[in-house]
Amino acid sequence: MENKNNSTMDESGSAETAVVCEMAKTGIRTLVSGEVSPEIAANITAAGKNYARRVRTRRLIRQIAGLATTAACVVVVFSMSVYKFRSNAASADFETCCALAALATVVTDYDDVLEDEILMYGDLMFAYDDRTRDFNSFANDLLLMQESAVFIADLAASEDY
Amino acid sequence: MATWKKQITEEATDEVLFDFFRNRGEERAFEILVGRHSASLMRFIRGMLGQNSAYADDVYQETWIKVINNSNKWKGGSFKAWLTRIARNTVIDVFRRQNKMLSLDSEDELGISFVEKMPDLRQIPGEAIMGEEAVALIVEEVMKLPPGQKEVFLMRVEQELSFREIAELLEIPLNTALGRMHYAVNKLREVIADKIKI
Repeated sequence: MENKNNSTMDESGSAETAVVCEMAKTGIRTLVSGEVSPEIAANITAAGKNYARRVRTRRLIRQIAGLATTAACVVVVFSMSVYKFRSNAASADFETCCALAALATVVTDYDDVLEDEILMYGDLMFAYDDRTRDFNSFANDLLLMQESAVFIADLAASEDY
Repeated sequence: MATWKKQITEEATDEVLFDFFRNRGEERAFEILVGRHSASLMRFIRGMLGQNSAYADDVYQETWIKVINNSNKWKGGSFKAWLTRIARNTVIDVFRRQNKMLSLDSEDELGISFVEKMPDLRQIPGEAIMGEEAVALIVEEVMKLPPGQKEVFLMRVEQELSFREIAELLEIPLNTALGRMHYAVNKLREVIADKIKI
C-alpha cells in the first residue's frame, strides 16, 4: 500500500499531487457511499454458495471417477494375470473394461496421466488372444457407476441443478 | 485438509481465497472476498456511474455474478484488477443499454445530479471545516473529469491499482494511463488552486 502511494507521488512528480490524490481518496470514501443493500448482498452470497456447491459436487464426481478408472485398470491387469490360469476368456470383457476406462477418462477431464495409463494397459491387453470372463459383473457395476457419474455431471453443469 | 482450511482467513490474499473458492468450492473464501471488496467496489461503480440512479446496485450484483460464472477464466494475476475490469465492463454495458454516457453530473429521476446531492460542506461556517470543504470540492471536481481520466483516477485512487494494472485492464499503453492520471490531477489542481491552500 505504501509503495503504491509513494509511486503516485513519484510518477506524478510532486508532493502536491500526492496531497490532491489523498484528499480525493478521503473525499470519495467519505462522500460516496460504499453501502450495499442487504437484498443484493444476500443474492450474491446465495449465488456464491450455489456455485461452491457445484464445484464440490464436481470434485466429488471426479474423485469417484478417478477411483473407478483405477479400478477398471486393475481389472484389466487382474484379467491379464489370471489369463494364464483360465482358458474360457472372452475379448468382449476386455472391450467392456476398455470402454469403461475411456468413459472414466472423459469424466476426469481427459486426465493425461490416467489416459497414458489406460493406453498402456490397452497395448498390453491386445497382445493376448484369449481373455477371461470372471470380472464381467464387476465391470458392469463399474460401468453403471460411470454412467451415474456422467449423468450427475450433466445435471451439475446445467443451470437448473 | 486441515492445512488448507487454515489458509482461509481474513489475512489470506485475494488470489489464494479465489483459488479456494473456484477450485475447492469453499464458500467462506468467497464471503471473505466479497466482504473485503464490497465497499470499494461499490464506490468505484458509483463513481463510474454516478450515484444518481439505481444502476449501481444492479451493476454491483452483476459484477459478482460474472465473477462467479467466469471464475475459470481468471488466469491469475491481481484479483482486484480482474474484479475492477469486470465492474468497468458491466458499467459500459449499462451505458450501451442506456445508449448514452451516464456521468456523475447527470441527473436522476428528479433532475438532481449526484454533485448537487452531495453535502454542501462549504455552507458550514468556521475555519475548522476547511479540510472537509476542500475534500468535498475535490470530489466534486473528480466527478466532472472526462470519463477516460475519471476511470483511471478512480482505479488508481479508490481501487489502488498500479498503473501497470490499469494499463492492462484498459488495454492502453502504460504512458497513456500515466498521461490520463497526469491530466486528471493537473485539472484538479488548476480548478482548486485558487480555492484551496494545500
